[in-house]
Amino acid sequence: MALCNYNRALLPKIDKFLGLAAFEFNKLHTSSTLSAFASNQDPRGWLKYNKKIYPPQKLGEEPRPAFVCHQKCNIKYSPWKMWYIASMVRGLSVDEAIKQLKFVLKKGAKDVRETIEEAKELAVQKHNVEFGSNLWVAESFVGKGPVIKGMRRHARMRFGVVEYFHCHYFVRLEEGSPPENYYQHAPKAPSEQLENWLGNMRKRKIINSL
Amino acid sequence: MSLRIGTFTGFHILNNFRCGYTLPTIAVQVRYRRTKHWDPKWKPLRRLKVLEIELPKYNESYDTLSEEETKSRLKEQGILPPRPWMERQFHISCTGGIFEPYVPPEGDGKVSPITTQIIEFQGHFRLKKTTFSSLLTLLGKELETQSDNKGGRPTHGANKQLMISLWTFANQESYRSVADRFDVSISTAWEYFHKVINLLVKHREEYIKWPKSYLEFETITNGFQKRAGIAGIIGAIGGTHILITQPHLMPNSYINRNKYHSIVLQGVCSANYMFIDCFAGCPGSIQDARVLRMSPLNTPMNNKLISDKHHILGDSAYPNQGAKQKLQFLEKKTRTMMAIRKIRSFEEDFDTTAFCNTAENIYIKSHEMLACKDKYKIREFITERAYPEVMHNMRDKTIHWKFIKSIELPRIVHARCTDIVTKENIFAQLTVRFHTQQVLAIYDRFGRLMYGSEIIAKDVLEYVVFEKHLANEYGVWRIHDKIIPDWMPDKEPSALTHKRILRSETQLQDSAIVPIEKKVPETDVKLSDNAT
Repeated sequence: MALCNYNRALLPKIDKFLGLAAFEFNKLHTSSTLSAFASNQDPRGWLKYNKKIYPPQKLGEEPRPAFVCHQKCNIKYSPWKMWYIASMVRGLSVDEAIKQLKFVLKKGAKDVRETIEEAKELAVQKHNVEFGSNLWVAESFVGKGPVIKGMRRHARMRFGVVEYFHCHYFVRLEEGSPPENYYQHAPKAPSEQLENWLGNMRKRKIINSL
Repeated sequence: MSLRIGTFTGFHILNNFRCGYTLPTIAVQVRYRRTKHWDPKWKPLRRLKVLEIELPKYNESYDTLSEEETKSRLKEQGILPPRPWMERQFHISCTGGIFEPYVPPEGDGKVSPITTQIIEFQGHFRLKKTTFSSLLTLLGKELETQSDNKGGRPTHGANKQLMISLWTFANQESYRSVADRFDVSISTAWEYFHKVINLLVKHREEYIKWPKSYLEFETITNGFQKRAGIAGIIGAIGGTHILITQPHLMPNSYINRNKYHSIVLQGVCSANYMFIDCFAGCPGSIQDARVLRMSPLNTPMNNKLISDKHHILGDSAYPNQGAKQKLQFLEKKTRTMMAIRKIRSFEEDFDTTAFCNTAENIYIKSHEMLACKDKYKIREFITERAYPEVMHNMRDKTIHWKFIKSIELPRIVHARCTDIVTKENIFAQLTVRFHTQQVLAIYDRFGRLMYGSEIIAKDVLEYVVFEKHLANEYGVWRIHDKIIPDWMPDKEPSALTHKRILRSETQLQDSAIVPIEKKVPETDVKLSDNAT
């Protein structure tokens, strides 16, 4: 598109300087059709993980769990609101996540669910995962997408800016069953607490002792 | 926030409004906004405060839109339609398939340590091990009972007795050497041999019998129909000469065309190689056709049966013969020879044995290129037709391939030449048989073993078609295709679990309008047929 406009601007000058017959640059089609659709600037890094090839494993080694990365870009939803949904599904098994998202009454929940369902299908089709249900949400996060600026009238000839936020949603599904505690700050069991306490008591330094 | 939820007041208002009704005790939420004017007359003006802009449609893609919609999008954005896109051109210098493909003989290349043992046994005794054991169960009891109450040493086991006699049958050895081989005395060997013969003759009637009922006839004819596709055959006939010592009476008539004394054995067997008739005793000089006439097969009753509907299959020694198959085979062979001569006219120093070596090199190189995923160099070893088949689905796999050795030397089994478009534009295809030992292990993207093994070497029998554009000065021999015969056992499936679709399940899923056979893949239907 940019090239086209540039050519058009150049045209009269060329005519003037070179005295050429109308060399119709504007009839050269240099733009691709895809540039009519504004989705060329999607994040690319996340999907690159899908292309990484790991070295073959030895015979007795524990099989490396398969994973699949997937994303949905430019969702018309606030990234800050989406964060709640994204963190809700972390560490859940796929089926559980899909089931729970059906009951979340937020606009972004639909997109998150669709993305996870797509990723689940991809895993089976392309990434040698045997059972689609044997996956869990290992990573789930939100990125900030393009912000379209709008205008809003205020009193006394003033104006304000309205920001139309978009967000990207990223997910990584891993093969296997989810860990017991996804987050580090899981409440400790009473026995563990007691052990910690005992350890601390025994570790303390008694001043002026032997 | 500017929103307030007036649960309590809302409830009261509703109560006042519908005073006549008895409301259920549900709190109805009513929202009030303090930032808006109470009077709705300002509503349209309020909307004007925000300038409407059109947000880009991010989730619209080129593929989902129709042509007209695409046009309108281009117009909106002031973009010119794309120039007609020329695909990158590439040169195809191969044919689209195999012409007159080679038909590999059934059961080719079945060599393994286990089979060699079996073959060894079969070579010595002219019997399969299974046949031997069934014979042993049949005769075992009778062989082990001592018939005459003479006393003396106990007889050997039935196994040994049978083996001694079978060895004597199968090999032209004297009693002395047989006895020495089995560590018995000569007289014992003689005794066992005759014992077994007598028993076999005794049991003869149970096994060698001409079909009597209509049902038996049917089973045999069906068997032949399945095997050869000819209807109404009840047996295949053949004769053989059994060497004898020169008899005293009329010795000359016993001399056969191979110049030794013999008697003729004529046998008829069914489709599963079982004798249904046996006749022996004619002197060797008599022709096979005459033996047939003399044999009990030629009784009026049998004749009627045979001539009416059924036939006996025999070779050229018998009247009414056909040797079409031999002719076909010869024809194929001459065409191969002619094709090779054609290749020589373009390639003067073409040598079949030398080509086999280069073919093996090409075969190994192409596989190595595949394993290291060199998509540019592999084009020197495989044709454009083979390229998509070879490269399919291997992008994210790790392939470990090793060529260990050739079990048998590669050899050309088939050669054909054809011209395309013009007479001079000649392509040549050579089918080379490889019987090799290889190691193959395929790992998925995560390095987990998907198929094969790094340790176990496997015997691989392959018929690889090589092609060369003879008319092209720079043409080279490249791998074009592989011939996979129908009788080849199926490949070892991958370790993944697959769901078998049963017919009853699909019936439940599909409505009755759609015929099931069309929806379900053929193999699955077959599987379910077997299951039911």
